[in-house]
Amino acid sequence: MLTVKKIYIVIIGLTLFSCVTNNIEYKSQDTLQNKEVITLVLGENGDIKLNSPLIPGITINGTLEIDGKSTFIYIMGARLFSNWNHGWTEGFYEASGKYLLIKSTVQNEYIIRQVDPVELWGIVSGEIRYFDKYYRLDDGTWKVKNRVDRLKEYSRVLKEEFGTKSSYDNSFKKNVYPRLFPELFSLDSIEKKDLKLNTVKGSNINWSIDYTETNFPNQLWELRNSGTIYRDVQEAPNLFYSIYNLDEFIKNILKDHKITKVKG
Amino acid sequence: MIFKRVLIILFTVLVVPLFSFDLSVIVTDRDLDIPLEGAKIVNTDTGNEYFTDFNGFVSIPLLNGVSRVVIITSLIGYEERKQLVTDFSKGLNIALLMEGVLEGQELVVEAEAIGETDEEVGVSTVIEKEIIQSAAKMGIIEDVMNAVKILPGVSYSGGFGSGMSVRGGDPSGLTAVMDGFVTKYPNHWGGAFSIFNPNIVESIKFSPGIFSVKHGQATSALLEVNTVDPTDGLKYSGILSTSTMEGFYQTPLGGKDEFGLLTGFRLTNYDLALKAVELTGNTLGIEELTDTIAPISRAPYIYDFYLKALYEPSQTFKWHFNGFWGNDGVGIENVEFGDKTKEISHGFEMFYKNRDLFFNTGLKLLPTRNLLMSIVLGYEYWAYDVNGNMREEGYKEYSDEFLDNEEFASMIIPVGAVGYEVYTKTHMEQNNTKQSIQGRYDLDWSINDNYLLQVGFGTNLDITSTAQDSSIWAVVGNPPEYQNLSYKEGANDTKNLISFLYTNLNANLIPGLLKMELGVRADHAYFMGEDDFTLNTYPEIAPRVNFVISPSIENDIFKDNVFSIGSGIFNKNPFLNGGMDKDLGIDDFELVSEKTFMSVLGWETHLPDDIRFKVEGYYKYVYDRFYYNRVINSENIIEPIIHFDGYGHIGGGDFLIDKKVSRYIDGLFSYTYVYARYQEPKDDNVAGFASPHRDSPIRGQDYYPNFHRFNTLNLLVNIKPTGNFTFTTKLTFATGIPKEEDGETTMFAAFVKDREGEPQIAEMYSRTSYYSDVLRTNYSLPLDFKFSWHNYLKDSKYEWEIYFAVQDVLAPVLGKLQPSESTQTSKWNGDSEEASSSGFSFPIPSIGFRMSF
Repeated sequence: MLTVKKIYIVIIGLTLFSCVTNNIEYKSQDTLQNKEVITLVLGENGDIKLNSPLIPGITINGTLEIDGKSTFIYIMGARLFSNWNHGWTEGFYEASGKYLLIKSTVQNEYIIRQVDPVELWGIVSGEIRYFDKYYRLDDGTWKVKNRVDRLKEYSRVLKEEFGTKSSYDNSFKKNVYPRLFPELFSLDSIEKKDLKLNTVKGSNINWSIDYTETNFPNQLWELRNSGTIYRDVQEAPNLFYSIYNLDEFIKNILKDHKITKVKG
Repeated sequence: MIFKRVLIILFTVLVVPLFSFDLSVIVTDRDLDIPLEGAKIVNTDTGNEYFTDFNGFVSIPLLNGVSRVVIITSLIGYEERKQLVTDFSKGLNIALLMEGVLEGQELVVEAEAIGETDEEVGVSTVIEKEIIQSAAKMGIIEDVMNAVKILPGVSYSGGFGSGMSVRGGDPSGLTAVMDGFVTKYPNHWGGAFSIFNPNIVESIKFSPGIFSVKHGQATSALLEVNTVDPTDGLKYSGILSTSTMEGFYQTPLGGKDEFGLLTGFRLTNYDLALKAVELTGNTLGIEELTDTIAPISRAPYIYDFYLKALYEPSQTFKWHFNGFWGNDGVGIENVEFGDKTKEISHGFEMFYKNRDLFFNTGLKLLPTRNLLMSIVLGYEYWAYDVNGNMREEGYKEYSDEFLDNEEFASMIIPVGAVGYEVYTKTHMEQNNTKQSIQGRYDLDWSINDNYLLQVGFGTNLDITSTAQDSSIWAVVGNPPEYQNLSYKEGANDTKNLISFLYTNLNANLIPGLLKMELGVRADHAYFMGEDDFTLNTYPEIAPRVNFVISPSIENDIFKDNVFSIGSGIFNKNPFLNGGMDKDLGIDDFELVSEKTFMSVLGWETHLPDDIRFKVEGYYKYVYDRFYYNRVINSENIIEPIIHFDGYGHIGGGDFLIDKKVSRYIDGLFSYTYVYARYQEPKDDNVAGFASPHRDSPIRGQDYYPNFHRFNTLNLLVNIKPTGNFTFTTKLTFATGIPKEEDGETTMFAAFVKDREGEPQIAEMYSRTSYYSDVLRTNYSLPLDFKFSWHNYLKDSKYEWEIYFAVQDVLAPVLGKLQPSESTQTSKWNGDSEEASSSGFSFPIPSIGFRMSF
């Protein structure tokens, strides 16, 4: 049954997108810092991969299927990945979502239109490499899940408590990092000397206990004072940036977006 | 009626098939792996709800023709899980995670001691992986011993043939164990480097203190090397540098990563590095550089191959197999002859070749929760050869001073002779092989949370073959004659069987305050030589005890204070080279093991800013030391006379200050002070000629052994100003080793035969040298550094590194500032000339590239 289905998808892919053997690539007409906002790659077997510089740490996976006269993109999973100087974090998540792929009247132009939005579900597997140490299998999955949960929480707190906005460019670091780590990145509203009055050491950095307890919800106090937030952000910068922007990306960009076939 | 039938048929055809198959679902707890009863499953297509039974099972009817379905699983106390199902051909297992608060389990590597070994003050130091990464990967040859050599208690050693003396002990007193298997000779280039490549090593435990009776045959220290776990994920790396090419690959195999395989190789060759040094020397006009490397005829090389397999299907069963094959060697040659009609020139060539092959297997079983059984079996083949030739050739006229000497005139100089001719050839050949078969069984029984009883036994059979055939030219007799002396020693397949038995108790006498390790070990040695010659010995008993006290006294400066006090006896069997026979006149039970009684007092504390301070003081009494004197028999054959009554007193202290690996700066500082006096009481009246074993210089009085240094200081610093740049520097300062005092150079006449065998009178010179309690060689100040740029490729798991390193960068400067290290007197003209030194050093730059996954 599956084999027949795959053949079916490939045939549709061949006829609909004039694909011969290679992958077909679509890119957004909008750019951000000279990069197309969306890149969609359709594989020969009907699998799709969706990437965006707005969520550089997340690759959305799915399949392309024909239902009657409509072509749908079914989102099935996501790969979360981010590296830094001494390691990387990788997680595979289950995901859902349904999008229509509509051919426009303009040649090679298509429109992605949301039916059900992308939603990340549970983690399937995860691994972390830290220097020469590997965290794999259940241990790795647990650590990745915790890290992603924490990054989601930092993003929520930043937006809800600090009032920061989604930022799809270099302003992200300028807006977000000083609020999380004023000890390391200057924050106009805080005097440096005030941050040195009552501190606790975590990850070789003295964190201001007063700033933590004044600005962060209880559940993040220990995480900030121990340096965990700093390590999460330092070790998975792209993931943090992606998770921070993911909701906005789904709501504003992926909801209705024009793409153009550039290859295949 | 017909209409009714049609309706029934239509219903059957259209509706019934819609519910024609079920999806079987089992819901479990992800961590506990137990079925969950009462979990709710919602089919989002239909909105229907289902609940799991006692076995966590539920069957969900699905519409026929459906290609995908989303189900949501929830249960109080667990995180809700949504799942897309596209494959209905098999059942679905859903593992739920316990719902929890925000987890803060960060990667606290700073505080993590890696490996299965535990560090204990007064006993051992564990080297973490990160220190291995920095210290061991310094310089041109990556070697874990680079990290060990900077630990407290270790006296500086460098260069070819340099053994590592630990706390004043003989270098041979250090025993290395790799995954439980004793490696007989884990060295390259005579001890300058080891076979332990950092890429195969997970952790190192170095024990210069009162280590457990579980291990024996070590009088100064124990080095336990734990290799990497190849089931720990796919990793591979390649290194290409100016002096080495290395590759390592490890991969888990099978679905559950129960089996893992590691392979690797190192091909090191100094060809290119020596060329670089030569070019640098020529370009900058530094003669010391070019002169130092000029005699190297075969660039030093190391070729190593590694293999490890590990099978661990559960926490109660672990099996491993290790294999290693290593080769190293170097050639030295100096054949620059002068004008043979005016002077007597000499040349030499020498080649050293070493091979080592071993494989071993180990099994760990946990039959019950409190019982651990361990078995190790292995085989090792080690062989090394030294071949050399020396030649003296030329003609020299008598000096006026010689002709005018009345004493020499009494010897008959042929009429008209104005000079003499010398033509000698010396050959030295040494071939040694050792095969070792070993096995051991260990049993750990956790009586309760506070008491662990260990018992074990094992055996080691060494089969040794040695052959030394040398012809040495020396001045002997009265009147003196320069003549050829043959020196032959050898034995074929002599066997040395060592068996041991031990029992050890680890006790938490007062939990949290006082721990004790008390054990006793018995080693028995039995020798089987040639011609049915055997030697039996009494078992050597070695008790050891160590107390660790962790009082809850601390202040803002000194935290986590731990004190230790312990004593023990450590021994090593006396059958050093296997070349024993009945001619030595030793009977059963006369032979004893070399022993060291050691007492150690230690204190460890943690200072602010995550700095650790550890200091230990010790006293050692070395006794039953083996030595021999060589005497010349009536046939001009040199024979050894063996003794076992050498002894020594050693005292000292050392400390370590280190900062655990961190993101910006870390490193360690260690200092070692050693006072060691040895004595070999008997001289057998041959003190004037004997070339005593171990280069012990005198008999009948105390002396500092030739490896002794009073002070050794090490500094290792890793500076990481940015995440992708690391600057590592390693500096050692060590005071010198004992140096002989030169006496007067005297001229004398000796008979020497010319090329046709006709006797003639030769003008010769000699210079006596004496042991000195005061003189020392120059201090050593090796400084290594390494600049490393490293990062991961963008959005990739591939890490790259480019590094530039220089080893012993100060060597040329010190060479100019310090006086010449060693000279010798020419026997033909009495001139002093530079002598070769095994400790020669020169800076070697290295540029390398590493890519790893």
